[in-house]
Amino acid sequence: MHLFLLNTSTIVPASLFNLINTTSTTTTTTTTTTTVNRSNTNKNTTNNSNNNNNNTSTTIVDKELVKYAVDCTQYQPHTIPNYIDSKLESKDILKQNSVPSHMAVILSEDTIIDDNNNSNHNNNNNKTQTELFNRCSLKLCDIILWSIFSKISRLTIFDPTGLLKKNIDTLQTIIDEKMCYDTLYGGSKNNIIHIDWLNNNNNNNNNSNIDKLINLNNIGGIKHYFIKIGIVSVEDGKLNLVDITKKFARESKLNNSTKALDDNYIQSNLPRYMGGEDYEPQVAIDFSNQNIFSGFLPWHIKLTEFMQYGMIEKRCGK
Amino acid sequence: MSSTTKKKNKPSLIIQHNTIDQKSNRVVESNTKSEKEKKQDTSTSTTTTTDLSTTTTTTSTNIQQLQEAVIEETGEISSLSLFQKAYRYLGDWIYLTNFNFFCNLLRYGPIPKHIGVIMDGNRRFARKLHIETSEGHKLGFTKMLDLCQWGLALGVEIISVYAFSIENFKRPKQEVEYLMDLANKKFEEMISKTHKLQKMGIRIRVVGDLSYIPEKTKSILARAVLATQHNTRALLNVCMSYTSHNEMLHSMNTISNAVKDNVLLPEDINQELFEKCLYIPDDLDILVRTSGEYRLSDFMLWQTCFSGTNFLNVLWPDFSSFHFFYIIFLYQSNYQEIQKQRKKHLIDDNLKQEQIDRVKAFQNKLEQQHQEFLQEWANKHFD
Repeated sequence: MHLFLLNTSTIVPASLFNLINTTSTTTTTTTTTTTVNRSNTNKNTTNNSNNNNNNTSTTIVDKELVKYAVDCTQYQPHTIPNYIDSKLESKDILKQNSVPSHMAVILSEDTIIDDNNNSNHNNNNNKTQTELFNRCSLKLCDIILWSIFSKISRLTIFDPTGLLKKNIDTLQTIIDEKMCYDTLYGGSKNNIIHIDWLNNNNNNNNNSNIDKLINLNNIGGIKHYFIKIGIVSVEDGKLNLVDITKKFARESKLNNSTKALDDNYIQSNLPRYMGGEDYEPQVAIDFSNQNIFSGFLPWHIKLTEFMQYGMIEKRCGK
Repeated sequence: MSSTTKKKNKPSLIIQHNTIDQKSNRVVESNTKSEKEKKQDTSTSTTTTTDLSTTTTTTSTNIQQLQEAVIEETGEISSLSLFQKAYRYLGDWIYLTNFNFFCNLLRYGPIPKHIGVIMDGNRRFARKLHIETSEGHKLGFTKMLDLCQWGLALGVEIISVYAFSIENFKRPKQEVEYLMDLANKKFEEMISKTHKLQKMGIRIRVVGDLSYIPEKTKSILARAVLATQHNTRALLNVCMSYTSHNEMLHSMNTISNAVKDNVLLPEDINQELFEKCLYIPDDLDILVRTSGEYRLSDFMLWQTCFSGTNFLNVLWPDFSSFHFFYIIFLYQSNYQEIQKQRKKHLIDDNLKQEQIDRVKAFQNKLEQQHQEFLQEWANKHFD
């Protein structure tokens, strides 16, 4: 239960679950509004107050939500942005600062590597590997889409196997195609998605382009969505810090300076896909099935809330 | 380990019953000064045993000499009626057999070497029971000692505990002063040879950036550390004035200073050296956080990279030995995964012999410096 106390209602399983609850309340809005048994206690209190104050307006909102729930269950991705927007706007307590600006996604090994292959069938190995890779990248597209429309501005994807990072070019092409050009998906006529791949090194171009596009936002009914994505693996954790230590040791020896290492030095020396102003993820969704930390970046997770997908799923099943 | 040797190392734990005195809303611990003080009070005022209303038994039970221990207990607490004594005796016996059972069961599987605990929830617990938050912290401390006993009974070698963070200095001044006072009192008790920890053979280390701690506390901590220095059965790392970022920065700074002083070369710097310079050089096997928060709050971020995590919804003073066994059980079921992941990321730098020698000399120097620091602070006395 306590998992839902976090204000990150933008995570879709949780929000879908709440939506299922709202469908049940539309039938009983007149009678029992205080005894609604929802798992998110924050929403509980505000909904009770909303319902008590204004019975008629909430029924209208609920009907719209029902419509979108039906849409979502039929999985039409282009309705998702409106659905998420309406969710965010209808509940007044969900102000902007309750949505995390930087989210981390920790993948499990099973989604990327298939360990159950026989060594005899080498060709099949490669095929299943690429299949898995494609499936994984398409699933990532879903997550990226949801986080874009939930106004999360930065995603860090952690892959314990290192495969995603090695094949980052193919990953980028797959995701770019699906997101930006596939009109049945997120990139419909009115929504244009721009992904800033932090692993690439073209700094200046991206910044100027994004500024131009921000100015063009909402002209002609076209919305531009931006998101920064960084892909990280295990070597970027500890080994990076050791490298920074080496660098600092060499510099301080050369310059004979007595300055001590501090947070700012480390932050400014992190590579682009791990550094920047908002380098700490506020929320991390953990898709591995066990209660294990899989070596996610040690320096960044000082105040990160961890949510384990395995645990959330079980509660949805109830 | 064969089963015969396991059976020989029978755990021996010490009972402690904590009761909450309703009149003064204070926690009275058995076997300690507070209990004796209370006895003196009651003897002068001739009040009856109706003061002991709620009993929260934070028990750690004695297996080898159960009867003797219970008689010792009941001999001291002469204010209990015969019925209450028998009830308590029965409760202890039931607890003991359960503890024994689970302990022996779990010993057939892999036992974690290093457990880390974030002891969260003292203040909420105190609010729940309508006592002061300071009493909640006291209960939390006794629970920590209990945890040491359970760990020792099972064979856990190192326990690291998050007692006080650098961020906690921002709490209201009264609370910080109270916590420092509590540390003073408790650590002073540890110096004497008859304290529980000494009897159990546990060595204490105080870990963190000690420059933020007031001087009186520092000297008492130094004395307690030196007093338990030669105990070898287990190690308890108490993290006072500690944050993980601070620890990592400290490690980096010591290394870079050593490079500047030409004790080390930049090529000697690798992950192993980095880890040795941290306050706590061993990797965690299990991380526990009570009270249902899902954050790490700057606790051992480096050492938890490949450990099992357990976020429990229990408040820290409510943490019982059954929660402890549950955690160990989870660890055992995840053990294969953890070992697999760790093997993948083993680093194997081929260092030359001279590099290895340099690093060893550097480490010895660090230890020496730390020892001198402790001696210096132990010799200062404050009132």
